[in-house]
Amino acid sequence: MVDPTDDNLWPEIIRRARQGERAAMEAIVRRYQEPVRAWVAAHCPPGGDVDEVAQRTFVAAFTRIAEFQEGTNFGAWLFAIARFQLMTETTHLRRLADYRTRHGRDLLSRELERRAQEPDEVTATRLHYLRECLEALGEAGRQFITWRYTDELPLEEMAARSGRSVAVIKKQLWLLRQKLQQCIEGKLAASGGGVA
Amino acid sequence: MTAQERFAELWTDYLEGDLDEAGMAELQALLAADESLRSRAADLFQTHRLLGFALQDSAAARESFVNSTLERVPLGEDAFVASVMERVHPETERPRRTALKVWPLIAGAAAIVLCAVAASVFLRATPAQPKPPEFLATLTRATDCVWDGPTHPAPGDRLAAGELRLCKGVAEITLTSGVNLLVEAPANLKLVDATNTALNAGRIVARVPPTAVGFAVDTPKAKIVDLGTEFGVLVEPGRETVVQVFAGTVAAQFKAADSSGNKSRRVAAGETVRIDASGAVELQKVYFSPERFLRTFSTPSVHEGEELIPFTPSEVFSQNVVAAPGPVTVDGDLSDWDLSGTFEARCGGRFAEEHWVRGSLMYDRKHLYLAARVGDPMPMRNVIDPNIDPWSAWVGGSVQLRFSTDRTFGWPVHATKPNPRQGKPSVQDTSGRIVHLTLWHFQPREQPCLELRYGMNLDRGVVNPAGWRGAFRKAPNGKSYTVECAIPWTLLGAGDDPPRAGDELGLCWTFNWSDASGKNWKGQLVEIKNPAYATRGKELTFMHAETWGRAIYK
Repeated sequence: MVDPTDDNLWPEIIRRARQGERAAMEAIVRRYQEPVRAWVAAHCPPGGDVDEVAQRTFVAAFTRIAEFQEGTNFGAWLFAIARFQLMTETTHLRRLADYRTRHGRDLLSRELERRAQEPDEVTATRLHYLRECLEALGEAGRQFITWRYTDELPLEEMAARSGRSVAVIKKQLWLLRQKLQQCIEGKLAASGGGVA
Repeated sequence: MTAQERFAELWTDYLEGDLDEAGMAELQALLAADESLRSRAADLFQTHRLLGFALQDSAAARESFVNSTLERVPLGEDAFVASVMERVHPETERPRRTALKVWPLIAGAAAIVLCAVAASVFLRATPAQPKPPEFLATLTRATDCVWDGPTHPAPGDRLAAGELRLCKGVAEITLTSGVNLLVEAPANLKLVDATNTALNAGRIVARVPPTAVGFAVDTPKAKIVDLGTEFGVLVEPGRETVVQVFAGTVAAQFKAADSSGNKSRRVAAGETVRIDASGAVELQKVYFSPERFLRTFSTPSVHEGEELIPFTPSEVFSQNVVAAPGPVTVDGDLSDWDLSGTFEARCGGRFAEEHWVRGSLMYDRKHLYLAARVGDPMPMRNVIDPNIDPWSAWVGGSVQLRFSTDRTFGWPVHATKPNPRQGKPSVQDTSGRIVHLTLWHFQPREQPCLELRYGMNLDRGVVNPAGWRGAFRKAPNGKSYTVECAIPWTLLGAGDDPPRAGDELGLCWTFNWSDASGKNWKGQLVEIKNPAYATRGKELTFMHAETWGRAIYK
């Protein structure tokens, strides 16, 4: 059985994927799906389809896998393809007639695009610290974050459940996001990593 | 208001999709004017996106991503050779019909030989590897599961094709097709592929998303093919097979024709098909049968022996139902009540402090009045919609009362859930004066809800009927709630002949607590029971009215 976590098997897995073996491709998707999806999520402009870009990355990689040079860094090669796919998505979105109406001028997209050129490990580190910061959040805060991001409840329902107004819920979400942001930045600073 | 404060407002509205065009322009102007704010916005946006990613990450989501991605990958060479062989092979066995087709066949055959040779060289060049199992599903949740046989999965484990024998507990399996199966022990289930399952014994409930229509459950007596629905299947080997549809429609394909010669039948929501050991098929219309299938996954957090905690053996065996002292305003304030008939109880052990109840009942010529104060660290969170799934509402936190309003039944009440194998039900078994009442607070609409069911077969009922009044009130400390309601005797089968002073009738309370989600049952307390049944299981009260305690009308 192909084990995507066994590093010793990795050159063999890539070789078999180059030969078109589906099980090897599956092992590659399993190993890289989290870092690729997280990286795309962190850099895809507003309105972009994150999983679509991530899937296109893998499909493009397998279509062009003959171009991959054995012995070089497969992850770096995969992320180069992801950057290309993200660029295609960003260009596509900019060309949509009503994109600016819905998402404003692309100041934010430009900043995200700039960050996409940074090492991909930055996103993995941020995600790791975010999970730690979530663990450290109090029960009440964690409840709001779960409602918002896991259950995707409307603000009105969050307000009804907590017995507060929608305005208070918005403020609470702002404070919680700020708190998590500060927590991540603190951990990055402590580890010597910079914030983009 | 500073620019930072304004940014906080606009940014939150932006992330919540509440920002209008003017707000968007204002936000953009702020970002254009301040580079540090732009960087801040990007930081917050990335964290927002990563939160969405991290908090929606699950084994099922990952599995779905992997499978959807692989479906989009063009076929590799080995798969290509296999698919060519598969498509062309039958052609080679077909007699040649015309000379005109000989050359293409020869060319095709040559190509096949070349492909096959190339494939055989190619495949030999690859070291022989054991074929990896193809995973079809993930065990997403499990409560108290004891497995037998070759597979003993734990939550999060992926499952390949094969047999699963669940001896104890409840397991939730999510197939890669998106089908969700709730399996109740004892069960013998075989995963065939992502859209086919065989049930040889036991109970399952399948929820099938639109993308997986056509999902099938094969049983020894029938094959059930989904047409977009939620349904339950019960297989008791040597006895009966039951298919109950909760929503949508299924096609039941019988292994032997029914008495009308039909080999299949469409079964719609609210219908049940029963196939007995001889193969005889019976179609029944049922309003619902909540005890037949477990439709909601409950994860009680603590168990002690065979009992759920919070749970405690009943200690109160009768309750006085007192005459109302005057008009009653139903508002959750019990200052106009005579509370002399109140009973009190607590859950056991470490749950005692926060899980307690006080139940009171009053009556007059027109109404039964019920009031309960319930200690609950997560009060009034029930999110189960009375218009969609009232029969599951009890699991989200509720107060239930089961009682008789017919003095001719006396006490104890000899009424039981009818069992077709044990003959015709008694008058009591199906009486409209045997009532099961569930009260809950539907949090999304802040709505007091009432469901009434009649008889021990629970096959008739109403939800939020006209004429009843109810109110919930949360305690200021958020640790308990009060529910108060008035229900006309006409809704309780006793409009012409309500209970009166001196009557001693059957009565039993159940208090259900949920977890923070308002939809997962955490535990219960059952009080006012027949002393003979005080320490016995919770499941008896809705099946056997004999377990109920005594209501003494004063």
